[in-house]
This record gives sequence, structure tokens and C-alpha cells, in this order.
Amino acid sequence: MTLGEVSVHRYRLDALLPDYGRAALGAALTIGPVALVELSSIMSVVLGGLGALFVAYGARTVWRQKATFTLDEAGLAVAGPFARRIAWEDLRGVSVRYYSTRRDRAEGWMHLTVRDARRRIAIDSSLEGFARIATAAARAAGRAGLELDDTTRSNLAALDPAHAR
Amino acid sequence: MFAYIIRRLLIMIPTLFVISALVFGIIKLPPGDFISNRIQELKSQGESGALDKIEFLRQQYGLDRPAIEQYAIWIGVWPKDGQFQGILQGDWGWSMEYNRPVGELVGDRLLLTFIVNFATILFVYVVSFPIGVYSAVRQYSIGDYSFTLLGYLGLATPNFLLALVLLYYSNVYFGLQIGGLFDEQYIDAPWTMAKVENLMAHLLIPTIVIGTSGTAAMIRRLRANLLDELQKQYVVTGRAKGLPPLRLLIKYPIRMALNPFVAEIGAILRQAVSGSVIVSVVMNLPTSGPMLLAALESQDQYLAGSFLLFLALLTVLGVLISDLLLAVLDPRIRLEGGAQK
Repeated sequence: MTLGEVSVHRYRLDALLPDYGRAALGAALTIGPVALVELSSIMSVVLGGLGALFVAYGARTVWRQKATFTLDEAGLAVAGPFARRIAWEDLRGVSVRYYSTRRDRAEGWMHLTVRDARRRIAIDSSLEGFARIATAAARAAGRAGLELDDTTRSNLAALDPAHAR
Repeated sequence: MFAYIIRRLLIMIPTLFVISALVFGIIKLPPGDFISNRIQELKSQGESGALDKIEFLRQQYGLDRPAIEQYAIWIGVWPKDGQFQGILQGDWGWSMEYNRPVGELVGDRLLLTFIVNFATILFVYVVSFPIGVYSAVRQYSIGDYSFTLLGYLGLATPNFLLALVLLYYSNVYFGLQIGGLFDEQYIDAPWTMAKVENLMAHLLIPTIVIGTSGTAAMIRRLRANLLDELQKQYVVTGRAKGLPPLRLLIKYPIRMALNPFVAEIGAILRQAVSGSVIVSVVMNLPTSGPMLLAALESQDQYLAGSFLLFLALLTVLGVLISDLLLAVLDPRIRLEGGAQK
């Protein structure tokens, strides 16, 4: 949704459903045996630790569902639980990473991290308007004279060929 | 990165379950079981009285239950006699051949297997990296040709044959016995610094023997990758702008050529583990190899299954580590691969 120079972005529920599925399946596979079967202490620690990771992933997905990202000329803000705002003039770093679990590196996803001196906002490419936010962050980094690493430049170029220069 | 780790873990956990089921299934595939094999042996020795014991022994070892129940008991998700006693409970089962708990039987062997394979991977990387870089930078030089020849020899020579050759020549020319991982006085001794030092001294030859083919393959791969990178335009531009050759080499092409190097950790681990089984038999190494072969021959299902599951775990962990390192090293989209978001 765009209001003048301000745009508002959310994760769509259908984009988050696979993440909910992963969190639930992971928790079932790890916490399930801990809860239902007597385990050795080492196995309890290993599976319990992995289970905690999946629960944290589920909690992060809930947060994403509730979060609203607002992009304007002055910066990027996230509303909802753990609300914060990063002003472009305070920008300290922008990175765009690409991850894929497949051998041919297809069907992956991008991950944008925007940082100031104290806070960071991280966004995945399943967010509506991800390319627009990434491009705005890259331009702000350019205005602030921040050096983007090779990987970020290459990934930005895939999003918007204007960054290929 | 967090999402990536979660997704990789989510692939890894079911993979291990599938591997455990396959391992158990394959061990159960041959006709008969440990007891029937043992009975055949006894009958061939004229001990017909042993037939009376068949049912008793089958019941004692749980072999009278359906295969799926045996698997579930072994994994530890199904109770045996009202109690969970499987791998998830830290109980690796009972070796029918040795009549001892598997965990007690394989403890040191698994540790030594891990040490030997870890040393092999270290050897592969330490040796292949400088040689691969040299061969690429000095392409078609005498050194490159020499290393290429050695590489092909390394690839073409079976590890066990190399072990036999080394055993023979070290004995004939130097009077050395290079088999085993310890001197005789340390074999059953408790772990001390002296035993560790003795192990280190014996580790070199098995490491070279097991690691030679992997090293040769890695040199070829690194050389090819680096040659590709060295011919790219950014390197030419760097040279034209007067960047010192060493700095230019380290700053970009080597970094890019390292990706397959990292990605191969899992494959090398798998090769080292499977390659070391026969070498261990030849060189009399107290690793899992010889015991695994014996367990497979006698259908000692819990001993063989535990070994194979441990080796599979090593491989799966190796692949996970290499994938995570690769994700850290180069989280870049490949447009030519069709990976577009």
C-alpha cells in the first residue's frame, strides 16, 4: 500500500504458512520424542536444543505476521512487537544475502539487513515490496557514502539491474 | 541465516530417520539372520543339538518380532519388555557375535574412526590447497605437469593397494611395521598423553593412504576452478590497473575458487569413511572398518546398524557444516542457474 511517498508492507499469510509448517514439523520431530519417550541425557539436550530453535523460529514467524513495515523518504520503520525505526541519515550498513537449500541454488530467498549504530531491521524477500525496500536502502547507503560489499551489490543487481553498475 | 539453518536442520532430521530405516532394511535384506547363520555353522560342525536352541535364542535377541518392531525398538521409539532401550536412550543394542553391548564394544573404535577421518580431511585440504593454486597460477609449467601426473596416479590407485605397497616396502627396506594405530604396549592401555603421542606418530601413514585419492581429486578441482576465475575480465582489469599479482590472486580469484573447496567437505568425509573400511582391514587399524565388515558378514544387525548409522551421521553433519560455511562464504544469487526471486 502506498500513501504519497510512504509505503506500508506486510508479510502475507500465505507466504508465512510454509514457515509455520516448518516450525511445527521441526518442533514435533524434536520436542515430540523428548515429551513422549524416555531419552538419554545427551539426546534430551540435543533434541531439546533443536526444539528450542524451532520454537524460536515459530515465534519469529508470529512476529512477522503482526509486523508492519513502513518505508518513507526519511527511513524504514517496523510497527508491532519490538517496534523500531532506522533513519537513513543514521544508516551504518546494508546487506542483501541470498540463501537456497537446493544444490542448484534455485528457489531460494533473499534477506535484507538494515543497520544503524544500535538497531537492525531484517526482512525476507517473502515480504510484499521487498525489492522496493532493498532498492531504497541501497540508495540511502549510496547517499551516506557507505560501501556495499560485492555480494550485496550482486544480489541488488538481480533485484534491480540499475545496481549492476 | 537463521531461516537457512532452520530449513537445513529440517532436512537433516528426517534424512537421518530415513537413513536409519534404510540401514536397518538393508541389513535385514539377506535371507536368514544371525541365529540361522550360527545354527548352519553348528550343524556343519555336526552339533545337531543346537537346533533346539533356535527359538530360545531368537526370542532372547528379539529376532522373532516383525522387522518394523525390531527397527522401532532399536531406534528407541517402541518399548521392549515395557522399557525403551534404543539409540534415543543411548543404548546402541546388543552384539550377538560378541555377546556384549554395542556401545561398550565400539566406543574407542568410533573415536579412532573419527580421528583418522578428521586427520584425513585435514591432510587433503592442507596438501591440495597450495598445490592446486600453484598448478593453476603456473599452468603448463613443469611443476604443473608433475603435479598433474601425480594427481592422476593418486586418482587411479586404489587406497588399499597403496596401503599394501607401503606395508611391503616399509617392511622390506626399513624394517618398519606400519600397520595399526598404536605400539603393542598401548593397545589396551588407558588413555594417557603417551598414548596420544603414540597415536599421532602412527596416524601419518593411514592418513596419507586414505587421503591420497581425495587430495588428487581436490587438486584437480581447485586448479580447474581457479583457472576459470583467472581468465575472467575482472582479473584482467586488475592486472591492467597494476594490482600486485599476489594481492590480486588472494583478494578475488582464490576466494571464488574456494567455494567448491568448502562445498566438498561432506563428500570428502563420505569418501574418507567408506574408503577407510578396506584400508583399515589391510592396515590392521582398530577403527570401525574391520568390525563393521565382520558384523555385516555375520548379520550382527545391531552392531552393523549402529556403525552404519554413526557413519551416516558423520556424513550428514559434514554436509550440514559445508552448506553452512558456503552460505556464510558466498550468499550470492546465481542468475545463470535460473535462481531468481
